[in-house]
Amino acid sequence: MLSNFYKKFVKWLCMYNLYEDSPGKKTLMMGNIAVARGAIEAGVQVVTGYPGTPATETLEALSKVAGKAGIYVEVSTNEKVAVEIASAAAISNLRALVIMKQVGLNVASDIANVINLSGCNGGLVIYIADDVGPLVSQNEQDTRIYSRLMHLPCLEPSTPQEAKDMIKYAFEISENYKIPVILRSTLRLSHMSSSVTLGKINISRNKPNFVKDINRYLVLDFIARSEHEALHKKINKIKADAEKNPFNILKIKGEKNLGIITSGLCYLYVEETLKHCGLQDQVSVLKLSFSYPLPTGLILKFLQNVKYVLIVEEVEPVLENEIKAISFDNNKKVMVSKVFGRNSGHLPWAGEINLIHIAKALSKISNTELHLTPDIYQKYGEIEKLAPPRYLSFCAGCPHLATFYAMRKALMQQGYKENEWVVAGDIGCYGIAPFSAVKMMDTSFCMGSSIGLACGFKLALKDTPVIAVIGDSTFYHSGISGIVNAMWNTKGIVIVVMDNKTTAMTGHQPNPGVSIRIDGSESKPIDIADVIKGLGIKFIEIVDPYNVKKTKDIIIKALKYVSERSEPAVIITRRECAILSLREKRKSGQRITPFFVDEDKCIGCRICTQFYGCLALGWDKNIKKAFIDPKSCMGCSVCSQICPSKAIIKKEESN
Amino acid sequence: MKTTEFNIAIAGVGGQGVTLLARILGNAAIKEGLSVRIGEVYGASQRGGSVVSHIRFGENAFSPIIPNGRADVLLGLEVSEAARRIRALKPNGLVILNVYKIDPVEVKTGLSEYPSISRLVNAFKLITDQIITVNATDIATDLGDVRLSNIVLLGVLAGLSVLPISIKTLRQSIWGNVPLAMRNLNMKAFKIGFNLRNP
Repeated sequence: MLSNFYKKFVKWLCMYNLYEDSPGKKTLMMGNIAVARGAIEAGVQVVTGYPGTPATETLEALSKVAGKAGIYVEVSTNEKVAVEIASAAAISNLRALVIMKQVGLNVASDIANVINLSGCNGGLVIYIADDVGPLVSQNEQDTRIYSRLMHLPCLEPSTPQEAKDMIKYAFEISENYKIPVILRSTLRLSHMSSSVTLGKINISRNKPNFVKDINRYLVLDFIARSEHEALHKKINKIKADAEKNPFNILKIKGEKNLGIITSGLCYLYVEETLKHCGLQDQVSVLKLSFSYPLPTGLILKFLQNVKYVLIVEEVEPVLENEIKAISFDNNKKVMVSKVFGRNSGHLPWAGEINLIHIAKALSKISNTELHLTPDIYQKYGEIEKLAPPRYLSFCAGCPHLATFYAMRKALMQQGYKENEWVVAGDIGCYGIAPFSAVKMMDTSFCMGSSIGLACGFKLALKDTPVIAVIGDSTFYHSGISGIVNAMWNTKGIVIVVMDNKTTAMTGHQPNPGVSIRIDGSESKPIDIADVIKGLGIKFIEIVDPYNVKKTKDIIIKALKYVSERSEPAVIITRRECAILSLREKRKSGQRITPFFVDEDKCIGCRICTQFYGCLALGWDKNIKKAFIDPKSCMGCSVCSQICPSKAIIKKEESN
Repeated sequence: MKTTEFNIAIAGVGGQGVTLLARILGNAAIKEGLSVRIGEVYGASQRGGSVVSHIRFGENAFSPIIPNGRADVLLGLEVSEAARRIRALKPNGLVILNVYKIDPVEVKTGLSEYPSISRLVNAFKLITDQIITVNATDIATDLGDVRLSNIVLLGVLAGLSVLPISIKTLRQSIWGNVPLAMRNLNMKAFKIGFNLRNP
């Protein structure tokens, strides 16, 4: 079913010349695709990961050339499993790459904090894209802090070209020192496209080999202690590479007064600010390629040449604090008298850095006026405010929307009021629900957290109905452990697994519930209901959310069931993602018969637009009737079921 | 054609082909040996969401994001989306607007208002006199595929001779970046757009 969609995707990716062996050719590449290309040029053998914006494209791109390039690529159940698989592959001398977004490292941190001690043999690189802003995540955590906790070298590219070249370099460092290496990007770099000069594709492959060594791979207490010490020595040695590599940029300029130390994409912001303010020949710049370990010698050299230094980095003052420590330790040697950045209030504590921030900080430090933007802000605001808000919304015919509608109906029919229930949400498209017409979902934290939270709410709030909602991919990722807990620790919660047979939010990657893996190979789907049954949960219902009444009745039944006993009830609302189903229908030439509103029957109650709010529905304020956009309508029939005056009917029925 | 900095902001709604235009312009720039940086955000902004691409040419364009007030051109595939991204445009910069609106859900369901297109178009006069309006969606619909409106607008932009890229390279880039079966129609759309300002 998915294969057609993938074929189209391969075609799209071909535009990125991912597997083209023409060294020296310049091509337009997105940061994430450049990382994929770099991994191919490095001769990567095993690729694992879990989709998550802003890192997804790297995993997808590699999966599309997996067969051709002889690379093993998988979407792992979660990031921890992904690192475990790659670790074993790298211990067995293969070159392995793990791909995830910043919050994925929280899940993977358990294994990453041990594999650092035993190290690897084949190169092991973990590519992490941090969402600074954050623009599409629950936080903007800084992976560079993890790299310190884990003692893992951390490289930070500034452009797609560097991203491609640095991942090759990361594999070298990893193999030379037998240590996993983190390649850290930020969203703007991951999604930035620019010219990339292709290198040679490495077709040589490491031979698999596992040499037993319990002093390395059996990380027990007494081994961990000695390995911890050895790890510090390793990091000290790697400092030499941090000092000397082609990716550092040192420019000493001007009157030896002001300097900027930066890393990653911020380097581009720094260069552009200096250019636009005409300061390129006056301000010294040091761009670091390693954000861990820091090249103390290079930094000292810089600090000997400037009096004031501004640290421009995203998103925590990581370099700033360590550079302060370096200058404190070497106070006799350095010229620098003050380090500016977040601690000093020159840069904001949160969010992305922009040119205005840098210019303002420079103005403040140098006591001069720097202007970057036109002084007609107010006029811009007047135009801007005319644009009506365009929030994210559920796609037309989204089965999640139908589930939430039925859920609200069920709770209200049971006599509960808005503030008398708790719906614990999870990570996925359904996160749109609180901002849509259905206005459901009270909490959202991290992957798989809904069920644990629901257990806790039930514990605290006793008689309050508590519902956990979770998607299929999130269920496999980390929801299962929560369900086991709900069953064993006997919590009377309703768990609604919204099974749309894909990982929709990140662009429809397959998950263990489907039969085709990301590389196109076949597998046996794992049925969520079977997993639940295996736990001994007795209340399991599977329902099509397009059947509103049935879904509502089952939710009522489940609410009654859990109120009578301390045991979870599981409902699986199963219906393929509307986008996938639409694509399939278009491809197979199936016609979609849209519904329409019979204006004679419509009483203008607005239940459909204000309490359900499908994207295909509209409100004609002139005639005070609802209408359906035939181009958007999926023909799911949900609105026709909720219309109290039966005014919404299918086109053919009217004839 | 050399430039030290030329910035284009393209605003639209997910599915209108904003990112395709960015790819066409980016590939054309590389072909001509012109430095290019494109800034986009993928993921949550697809499927009917607000989308913007920043395309930057020249050695002085470092960051993938056009700094506020530095865009030479603001290309709006949807009128209100162009208004939303106005901050990118430099004073008296060029605005090319597709006279077309896509109602957000809040507007469709009557919870929010969409101002009249003429009010929106007039508002741009606060910043610039260079406003060009095109019925690109109508032209595309007449050609048989509404999705061609982005290429019509690209044609209009190319016809104004402001781009630091030759028309020939641009045409080649369209040819190489659209689906095989759609090539001829896209070239036709480009030509119509191009001739709108060069009769």
